[in-house]
Amino acid sequence: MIYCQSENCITIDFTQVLTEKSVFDLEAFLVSKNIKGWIEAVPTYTFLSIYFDVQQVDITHPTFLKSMKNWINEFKQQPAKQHYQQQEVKKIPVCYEAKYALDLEWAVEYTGLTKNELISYHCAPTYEVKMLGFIPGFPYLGFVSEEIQLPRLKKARSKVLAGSIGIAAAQTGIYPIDIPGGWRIIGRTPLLMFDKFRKAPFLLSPLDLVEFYPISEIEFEQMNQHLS
Amino acid sequence: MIQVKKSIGLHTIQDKGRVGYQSFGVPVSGPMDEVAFIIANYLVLNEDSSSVIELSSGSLSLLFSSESVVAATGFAIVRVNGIGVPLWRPIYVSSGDVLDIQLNLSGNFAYLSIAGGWKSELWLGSTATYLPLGVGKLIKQGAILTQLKGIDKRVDIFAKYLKSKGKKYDNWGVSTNSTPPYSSESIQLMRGMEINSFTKESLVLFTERKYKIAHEKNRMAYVIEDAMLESVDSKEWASMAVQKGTIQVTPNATLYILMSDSQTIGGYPRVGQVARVDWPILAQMSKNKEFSFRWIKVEEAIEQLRKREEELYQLKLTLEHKFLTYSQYE
Repeated sequence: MIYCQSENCITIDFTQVLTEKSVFDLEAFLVSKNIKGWIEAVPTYTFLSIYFDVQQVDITHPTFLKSMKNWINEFKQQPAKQHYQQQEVKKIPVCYEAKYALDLEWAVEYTGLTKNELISYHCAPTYEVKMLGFIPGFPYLGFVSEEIQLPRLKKARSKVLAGSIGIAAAQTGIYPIDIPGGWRIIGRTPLLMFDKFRKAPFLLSPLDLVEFYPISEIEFEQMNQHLS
Repeated sequence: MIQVKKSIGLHTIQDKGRVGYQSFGVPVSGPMDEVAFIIANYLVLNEDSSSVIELSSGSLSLLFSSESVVAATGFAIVRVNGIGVPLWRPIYVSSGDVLDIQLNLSGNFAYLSIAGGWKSELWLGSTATYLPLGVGKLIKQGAILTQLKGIDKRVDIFAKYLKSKGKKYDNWGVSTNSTPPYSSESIQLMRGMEINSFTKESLVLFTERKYKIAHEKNRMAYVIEDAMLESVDSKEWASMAVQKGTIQVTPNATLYILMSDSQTIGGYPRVGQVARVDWPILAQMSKNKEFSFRWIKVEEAIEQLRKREEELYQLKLTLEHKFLTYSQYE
């Protein structure tokens, strides 16, 4: 259940913990324990990795591992928290017009849906930021309904514009910077997901709730924060 | 004030790295060779985390318009006003001096520190350069560089001594006993979490074979082609945290050894994790050098790391004492 993956990092396999609680719940629980030497945690869908200061703690020491196990057991016994009630939902405008939706026409053909149906499916759920990564600030949002799940491109595009909205299998995500990418692009937001000069450089944080709403090309131009 | 007269290649500002934002996908960054980096700081009595210039390929030419003390470490040839000066030593530079530093092909990185540290903008608490986000600082031709803080008093006295003797450096520095064993041909690995996804036979070959770093290498990853690691099946793996030293294996058996600008999560199976004590050796691995991998336990890796940290601390104390021996020249 607990793996020492390097001198300073342990990974907890969450699939062996509990499914009705999230990796974020475990992170919050462990943070509340003020564990010595804790530097930062990296949650993913099914794992929680925690980095420690090697000078302060030996992650391979039986005493350390035993207390980690005890905390995880204590966490398991706690009732699941309902943390969404007062949480604000971040609304992200998306232009689904062909100019920005490079794969939408393909997706229409692939799914057998109309363009409007596809957009409705994409805008319907309240997504949760499951994790950020692969590139800084790229949110993995879960989950899109089965009807609009799309396979990745066989060969990644050499450049996907910042703000582009993609789908890969059950996930949807937003490219924060111009970068090569292999997700199917179905739209683009005029908002800057990343701005290094902003106080909070990344628009989304882990565990944020997100909804998309469609805008026209004209609205995109009016709201456009991108330089290109 | 220091003017960049010429800059060929890619040279960046690095500090110890950016921690605390990996859950946003922000890499730690920081120096590729953390030991050469920290010794460069120790040699001018800077704080451990002070900003240093990291040179990767090419050269840099700096014109000083005030006096200072600098130190170069790693793999380079350094000249002041055309005359060679040693690496791993504090060097006195005076107004009008031109310092040329050129990468030496036996390694990949060199570090140039200055007493007081190089001044550079902080982003999320760190000056470390990470080019994909445009944060940190590239050392470009024509740029004006300055120090963040004043020179340490002890280093200043040392500078006065050298000036009075008309010398650029004294007869001491950090010896090869205190630097990483760069000529080592063995890289220690801890077992990766997905090690069982490779066939036993191919894993045996994995540690018997010799490898070379492919041409494709940068601050994000070093690549090894045709590693001949065979997967048991073509299972898809859930993404999880990866870090510097993590070796991911793609379906065509290419090894991606993640380096300082490592992504924070990854989805390829991981065969191993390079022991931190061997990061400098790997970072400085020249392109024709052959090396092999050797398994060690996490416990051993921690023990070696703690020993190295202790040795570096002792080195820091020794250097502080060295500078104190000049107090009579105040």
